Amino acid sequence: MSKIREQGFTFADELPPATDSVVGHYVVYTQKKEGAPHRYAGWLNAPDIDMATKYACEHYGQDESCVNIWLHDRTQMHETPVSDTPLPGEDTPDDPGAPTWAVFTQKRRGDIHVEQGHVQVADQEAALSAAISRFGMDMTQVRVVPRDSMASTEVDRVIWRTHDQGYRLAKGYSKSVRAKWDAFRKTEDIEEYRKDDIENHF
Amino acid sequence: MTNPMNNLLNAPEAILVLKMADDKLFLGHMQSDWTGLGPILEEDIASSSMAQDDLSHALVLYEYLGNRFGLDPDVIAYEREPGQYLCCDLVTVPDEFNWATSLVRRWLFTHYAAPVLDQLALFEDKELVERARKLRAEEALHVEYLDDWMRRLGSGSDEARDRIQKAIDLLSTHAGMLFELPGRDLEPDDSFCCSRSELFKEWDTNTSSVLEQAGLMMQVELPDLKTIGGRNGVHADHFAAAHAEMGTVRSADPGAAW
Repeated sequence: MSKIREQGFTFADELPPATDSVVGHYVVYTQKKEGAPHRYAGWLNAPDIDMATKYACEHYGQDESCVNIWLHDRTQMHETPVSDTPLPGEDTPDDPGAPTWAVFTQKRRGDIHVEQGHVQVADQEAALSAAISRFGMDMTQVRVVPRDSMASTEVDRVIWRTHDQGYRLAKGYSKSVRAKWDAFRKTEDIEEYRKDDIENHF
Repeated sequence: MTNPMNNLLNAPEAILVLKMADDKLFLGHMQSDWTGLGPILEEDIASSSMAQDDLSHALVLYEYLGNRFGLDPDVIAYEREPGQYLCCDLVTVPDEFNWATSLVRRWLFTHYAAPVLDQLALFEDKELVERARKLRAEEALHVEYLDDWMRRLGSGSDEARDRIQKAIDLLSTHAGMLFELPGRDLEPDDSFCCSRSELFKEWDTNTSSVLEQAGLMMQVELPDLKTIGGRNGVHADHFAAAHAEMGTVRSADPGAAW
């Protein structure tokens, strides 16, 4: 923390009493490249879905290169139980007048949910059943979310920053650290140290 | 023998870039103090991300100046005398960990930075134009984000509106000096003064529009050309404190590679 701000500053009587604020829980999916499926990125708290979209851009949108973000209130998703055996599902033909449901599937237990497509049917039961039938083969879980409850970043919105962001990436950092470590290991000193270390401790 | 730093500080176009880089360096440094202390987790992450933007925008501009004048960007950022920094007072006004103050400080600045980056993108130097365009697209995110918060807090509870209005009252006294012209010791140059009043007008129109939607009030006048401040190296005490702290690590071992 800044030393400047430690001078004569105190939190006493500064904060108002807590209020019963309403905070929503939003599920976030990111799309790495145009045309690629949206993949589960994480979740966040926000006062509403507009603010959640902005937070998602600054949070999950900066984890790695990303062109689009989807999100929805977690109460809007409907899922099958996680199952290692084939999920039971019966297809229903799409109805152009019915709501559209985004379909996400999980391949193995613990995997992230990945967008597979959509179904257009009357209700959540029919949506899950149709989604299982069309996309649920060899999947451990299927999730459907009504598209009209989902928010999306605008087309062509800048999410991932366009100037050099390599320093933000863990892989960039680890590459640099590995290079330094490799250089260090090549020196004789480290081999001598290792010999001494083994001799003294084992 | 020519001194590259003196060359930079005496090139009219270069100091227009330098004042933006210095503003962003100090604003990013000040806002970074909030990392880990934001009012809610996501706001902490978002404001830290945007503070990092400001620091990396400063780097993008220092790199440009470094390439042009044969200087290490870190040397430009950290190894000048206090009087050679051209940032305005606003960016180093302490917020005393008052979130409203930190928010308004960024909001006033981002509405200034956006049109200035537009101007830099009109220069003839292709390298500068390319860099300014990238930064401008990202500055638009800051504008959108901070405008949204100003509207939300202005139209929120009485307490929220009161807090944000007090922050505006505190910082608006510094806002006019965003438009101070740098380089008074240089030969007169058209690029220095031709757009000062237009720039202020654009800033005033854009900030007033948000304030009206938010139900907030602000009065800022363009200071006369004789008023001298940070853009000419005449800094307030809070700049000296921020400058000393920011250079602590660098000055601990001058010349070391980090």
